[in-house]
Amino acid sequence: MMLLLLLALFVFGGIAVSTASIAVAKTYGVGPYYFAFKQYIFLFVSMVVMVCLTALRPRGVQRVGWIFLVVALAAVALTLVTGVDVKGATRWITVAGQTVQPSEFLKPAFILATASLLSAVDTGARQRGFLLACGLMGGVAFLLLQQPDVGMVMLLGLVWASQVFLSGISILWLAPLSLLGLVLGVGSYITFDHVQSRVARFLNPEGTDTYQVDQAREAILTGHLFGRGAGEGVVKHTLPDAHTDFIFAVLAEEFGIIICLLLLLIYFFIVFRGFYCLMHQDNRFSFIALGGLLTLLALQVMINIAVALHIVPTTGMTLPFISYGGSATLGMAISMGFVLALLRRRQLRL
Amino acid sequence: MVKTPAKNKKYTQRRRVKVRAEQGYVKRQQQDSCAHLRMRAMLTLFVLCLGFSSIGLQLGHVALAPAQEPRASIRDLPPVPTKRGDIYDAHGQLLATTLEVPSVYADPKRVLDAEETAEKLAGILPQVNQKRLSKILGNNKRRFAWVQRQITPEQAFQINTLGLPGISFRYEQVRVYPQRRLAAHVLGGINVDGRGLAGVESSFDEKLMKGKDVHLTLDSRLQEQLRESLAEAYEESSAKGAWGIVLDARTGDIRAMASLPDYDPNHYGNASNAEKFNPMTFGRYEMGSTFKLFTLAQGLAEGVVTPESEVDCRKPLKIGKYTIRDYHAKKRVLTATEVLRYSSNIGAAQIADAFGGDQQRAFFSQLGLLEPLDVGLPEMIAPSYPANWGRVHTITMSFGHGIAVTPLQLAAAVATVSTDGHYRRPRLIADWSHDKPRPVLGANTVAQVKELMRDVVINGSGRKAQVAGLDIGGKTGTAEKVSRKGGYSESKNLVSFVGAVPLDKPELVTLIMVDEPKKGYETGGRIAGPAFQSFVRRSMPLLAMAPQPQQAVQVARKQGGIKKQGERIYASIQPIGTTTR
Repeated sequence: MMLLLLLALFVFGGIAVSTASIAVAKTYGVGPYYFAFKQYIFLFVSMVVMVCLTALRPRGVQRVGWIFLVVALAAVALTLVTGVDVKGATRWITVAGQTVQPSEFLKPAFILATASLLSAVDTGARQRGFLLACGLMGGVAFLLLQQPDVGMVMLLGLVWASQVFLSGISILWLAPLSLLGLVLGVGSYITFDHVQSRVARFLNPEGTDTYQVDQAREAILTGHLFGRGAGEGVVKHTLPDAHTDFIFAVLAEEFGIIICLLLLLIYFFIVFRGFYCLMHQDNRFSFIALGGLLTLLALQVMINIAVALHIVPTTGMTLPFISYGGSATLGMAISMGFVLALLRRRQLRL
Repeated sequence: MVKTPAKNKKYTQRRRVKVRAEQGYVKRQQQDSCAHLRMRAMLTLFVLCLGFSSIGLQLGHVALAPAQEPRASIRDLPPVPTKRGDIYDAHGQLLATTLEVPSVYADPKRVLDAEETAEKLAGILPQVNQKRLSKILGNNKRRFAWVQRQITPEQAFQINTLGLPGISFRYEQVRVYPQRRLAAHVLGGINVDGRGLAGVESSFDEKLMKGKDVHLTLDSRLQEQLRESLAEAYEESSAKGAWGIVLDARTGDIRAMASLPDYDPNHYGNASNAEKFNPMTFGRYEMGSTFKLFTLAQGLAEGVVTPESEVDCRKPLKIGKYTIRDYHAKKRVLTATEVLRYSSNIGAAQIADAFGGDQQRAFFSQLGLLEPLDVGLPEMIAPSYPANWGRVHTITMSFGHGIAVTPLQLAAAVATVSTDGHYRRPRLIADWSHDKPRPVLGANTVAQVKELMRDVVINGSGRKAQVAGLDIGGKTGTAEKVSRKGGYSESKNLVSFVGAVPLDKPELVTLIMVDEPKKGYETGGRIAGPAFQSFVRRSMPLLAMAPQPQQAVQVARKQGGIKKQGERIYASIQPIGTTTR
């Protein structure tokens, strides 16, 4: 069931990128379907990887997660040394001619690692695990802020918080933790200029440049119920990142909000179904890992769409499986592969 | 998977944690490692549900509530209306159309780089002042500014290709009259709001606004020839105005209708009142001698005269305080043919007096001279004639004074008496159907009238209207205009020529009028006749009229015999004083 929904998302993604990437392909002077074909390959590879990962057992997931973490952390660290600078951030490294964004792979690895640390059964180990998890969070946040990638830190922070919450930590801990998060948020606002400007724009749209967001709203508006028709959209030609961060606006314009709501429903159903199964888990690691991975998916979807709707400030969040981007797609496929793997065990036992 | 021994070992080491909680924790863990966390999972799921649903709601809100969307102030402009309908001539030639012309505007707030944008735009639009534009675009508080109105499609394409943010187009409608002045008075013009102000643009405004086309009976080719011929006469005689109407004698369709001075309807606002005035349907004039055609036609129809009847025109006629004189006085007894040939007022007066005012009134009414004539132009005026129609009026009207009609009415009436005796209501709008022709005169009478008209062109005042090889009949007119002080002015004339061609079976009836020609040109034969000739000669090839052998054109003078049947009707003229009022 969940696999089917995920495959539906892949198909959706293929269609969406086909139409949305035409404009950007023109900008780069490559064939109109250059990016679309690339994304088809990414989607296919991701699908294979996801299905392969399904074969893992929870223990295997845990192990693979740790290996992943080490590799991903190393790669993220590498971006700071040999990173490719794109739009003022060094988030990419070049591997075999492809630019790769290691932080996308860091996400599932980080979640699994956190789950491992928090899943210790006895109290002493749990205390130590929690402290270690805090340390991991801090370390990862430190690394990512060097790039800088504040959005990613916040996302991971939220996911991490949800995992900690799910691990059964005392409510008393939550207050200082959220305080800490708040302090860090304000800190990043003060430290990073672009965060400041984005938030300022969001809070005070008059008088500043809100071009992207205006265009996105415009697109959703013109799409109305049934959209202009596939490929008929105009916003993608004037909207930077139409094929990545703002792909939802393109979808809304061309296919209308009914399709968009359907898409939202698919995401929601995956998350809901995941949580439903999760509640019957009796493996602490599976429980916390699933919670984290599903929260990651839900948050990314919500934040991406919320940006297009101008509910939250602009962040560089992709729409899972729909937005263009090899690393993001593969990273999310890995996450979902883990989810399927963890759920599979549970379902087989029933 | 549950490591119970390890747990117990660790448990004893932790003293600072509350015992009660620890005990509970252990107990639950032994039963089910995660069961106590389900509440937390549900809470997390609940929060995510809230997030999803609020996003879904907001999505619907944004997409389905366009009215609440604050937008660039281009929205404040009125919406672009439906494209106004076109106007075509009888052959589908475009006379008026609407082009959607792009205008480029800026939303300065959205412009990313004012200087660069201004530079690029100035490179494409030569009229744009780059410095000024750069300043406007740099003003982030503005939401709307025209960069350039009405640019060419190529320029719009080039600007579009630049892909500049904040630069957009609005398509504005521009009314274009590709034939320019050609049919200015018929077409009229529109105002800045795109509403018709005059002519067909005004009378068919509603229809055109709905995007529907209007088709006219005008023939652009004839219209052009008519206008050229009028322009020659207009300039040569330094006249105040000159106009002409070409009727299709077979159908009543108005095939050309032009007036000078005119204007370019593309710039209607710049036209003066004199230029905008349409004398052909909106001016009413005492037509003068051309009316003698009707008097003679009626005389022949009523049987009071034959072409050979003699009429005493030796001395001016005194009727009450009026004295009727002839302009080209022959001071002898004239035949009815000669009355028309020499345009004798005295002769016409006596003939009209013979059949009387009631008959004249009925006949004029049949010729459509007493009712306003609506051809689909808002410029329409009712004819003017005396209400009591006394004898003196009958007499003055017999030579075209005391009654004022529009030139179009005159042309239609002449078409009736010179074609087949049927009155055909002139038609300008091809979308309208023809009225049924109204029989007015018998075939015999029409044949006789044609002879008289042919005679005028061959022997009389219309000689200058002759066209070699064509059978033409017509009548000149020279009316003294009513001066402002009252009474008639001898120096200010309204001269005319009306003719049918080819006379045998007329295709066209053409009326040419010249208003206030300068000295030396002040008669119909002197200036209007040549203009008629010029028009017919130009139009011959267009109408596929081949010149006929010369003898066919010659008037076949009727030999004696009819003369004997004629009456000398001058005896019937009574002193006007005897008529009771």
